Amino acid sequence: MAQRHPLQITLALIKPDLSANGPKVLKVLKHIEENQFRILAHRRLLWSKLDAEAFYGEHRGKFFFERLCGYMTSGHFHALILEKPGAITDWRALIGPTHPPRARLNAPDTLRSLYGMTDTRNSFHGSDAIDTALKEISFFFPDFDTSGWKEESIRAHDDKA
Amino acid sequence: MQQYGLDHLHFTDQTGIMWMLSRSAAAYRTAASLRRQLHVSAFREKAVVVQWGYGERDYNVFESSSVQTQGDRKTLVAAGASHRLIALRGEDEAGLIGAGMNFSGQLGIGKRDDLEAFGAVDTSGMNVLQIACGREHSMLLAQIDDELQAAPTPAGTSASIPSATQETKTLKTALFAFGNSMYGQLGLGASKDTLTKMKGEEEQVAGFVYEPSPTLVQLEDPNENVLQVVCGLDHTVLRTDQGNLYSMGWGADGQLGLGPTSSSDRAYPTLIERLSWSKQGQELGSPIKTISSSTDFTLALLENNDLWIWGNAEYGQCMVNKKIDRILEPMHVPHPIPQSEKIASVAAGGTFALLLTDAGEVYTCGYGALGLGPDSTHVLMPQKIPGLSNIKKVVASTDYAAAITDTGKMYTWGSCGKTGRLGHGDFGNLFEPKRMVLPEEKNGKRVEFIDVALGMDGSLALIDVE
Repeated sequence: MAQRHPLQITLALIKPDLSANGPKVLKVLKHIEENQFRILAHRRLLWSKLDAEAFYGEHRGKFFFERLCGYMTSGHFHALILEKPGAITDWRALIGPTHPPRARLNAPDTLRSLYGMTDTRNSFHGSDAIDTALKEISFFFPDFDTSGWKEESIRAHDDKA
Repeated sequence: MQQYGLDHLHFTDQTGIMWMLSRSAAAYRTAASLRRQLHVSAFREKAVVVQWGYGERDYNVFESSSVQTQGDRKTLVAAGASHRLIALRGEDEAGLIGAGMNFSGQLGIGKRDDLEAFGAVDTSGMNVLQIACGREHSMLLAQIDDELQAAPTPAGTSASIPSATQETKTLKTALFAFGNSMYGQLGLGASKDTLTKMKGEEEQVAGFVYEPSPTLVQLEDPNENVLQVVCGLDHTVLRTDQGNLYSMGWGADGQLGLGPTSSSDRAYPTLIERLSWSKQGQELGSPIKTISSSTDFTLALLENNDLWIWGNAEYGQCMVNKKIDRILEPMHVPHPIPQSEKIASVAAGGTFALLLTDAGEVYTCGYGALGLGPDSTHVLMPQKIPGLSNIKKVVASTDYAAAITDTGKMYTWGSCGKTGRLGHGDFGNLFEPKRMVLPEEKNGKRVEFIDVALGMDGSLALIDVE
């Protein structure tokens, strides 16, 4: 399995609408661990407008930029580093389709179906590729040694091989 | 609310404990487990509030000597994302009971909680007219006995509004807000945008904005009275006795309806000029009969049957045969159903809208488990929902809905999200309306649904049991 799915890290966000519901956050954390993810780091944050604009800067000018920043500054939220073989695609599969109302019809067991609210308040984020995962992890966890983790990961992989 | 003489409020829970909520500033008690508080083992032969969803298959029943389903002092119910409110309006006791999440103080009990809470606010001396819940905020509209005559309308404004509002003209009301106000949805002047500090230049800083005690919302004109309040998930819309609409809260998708270039948030009630008597006067054609909102768009129905919409319509909820991402200013919707049918009422969900006709039939438009069957989950013009007739009330939530017939039968449909919120004791989606049958009815009793409030995780209904 390790050969087919190298150990990866990804950035997960539990967004403000869901973070306002403590009991649900606990259920989600349990669900994450039940799916063999290891939580390497976990922070609870509250963003200013400038913080949100810095993270979502690439979307500036798009019609949803304002509502995305408005939503992400609407309350406390959780940032996590998740580790697992194939973490990036596995986490995105676990959270499910972008739009919770669609997920409730088409992917009823995904996290967005169970806990998401609306297209904007979709409650979860997951990095979409290895490079963005490292970039996003550095954004939220500047002290996390992403290059060191990578070497460690490669060494572990080689040892197993 | 403490300025209104506190009496006391009592009710009995499953374990037989009588809770006394007595004269104190906060007037509340909390319990570790809400579920334990609201459970009773069996129905009794009287009016009750029944609750379902919240991840459970069972119905929970709440009863109090104060619960009334009929008359002027009817009990009221409201449900938000993860909190719900019951307004009891008895002769000797009156209170607002809140249960569920209280992270932002949305139960109004004077404090916030990280986990589920339970408590009550004394509302003795107030005639509570309406309660409403958004995602994490709550609104309470009350009639206030005011011996002073309402000030006459200033001469020259000629703002006399036709018949509809005259009977309520003398009604003096007070609107109270509590809970989350990150977007300004409470209308009390504070939001995350108002948190600034000087860092060379003024800069917005992160912070948490909430109000855990019911606090008076003020309009600019103290003689203008709110007649109706509706909550979207993160915004609030008010309809007044002057024929005006005001909005506050999140505006990024046009939820506030403030104009073609306005999508910013507002922390004070702000006039929706396009649809308000004070700006449009006779050009409006007719007073506004009712408004409805639950998520990110709002419907307004005028007395003359005209339909208006603003906010998010990315699923084509706007009933003009196309999707519109954001409608920033109220848009007139040409009569979207056969001319022979008159719209009696409206209900705005999240991804869909409902229209109730004079004949008691229901039309739906938008996306989801719409009630049109599993093969029809997206329509851009209203379609009649088969199997619903003699309907007198429709209620819509983010992605499910309910309809009550003139004999008190209730149907629900929509997506379940594994919450049990459709009320049939399971966690499945319903693509067609299904009548909700409570255990008492199975036992041969007559059950009549009077009112229902649909929240994100579950629902409350006020019922009569014979």
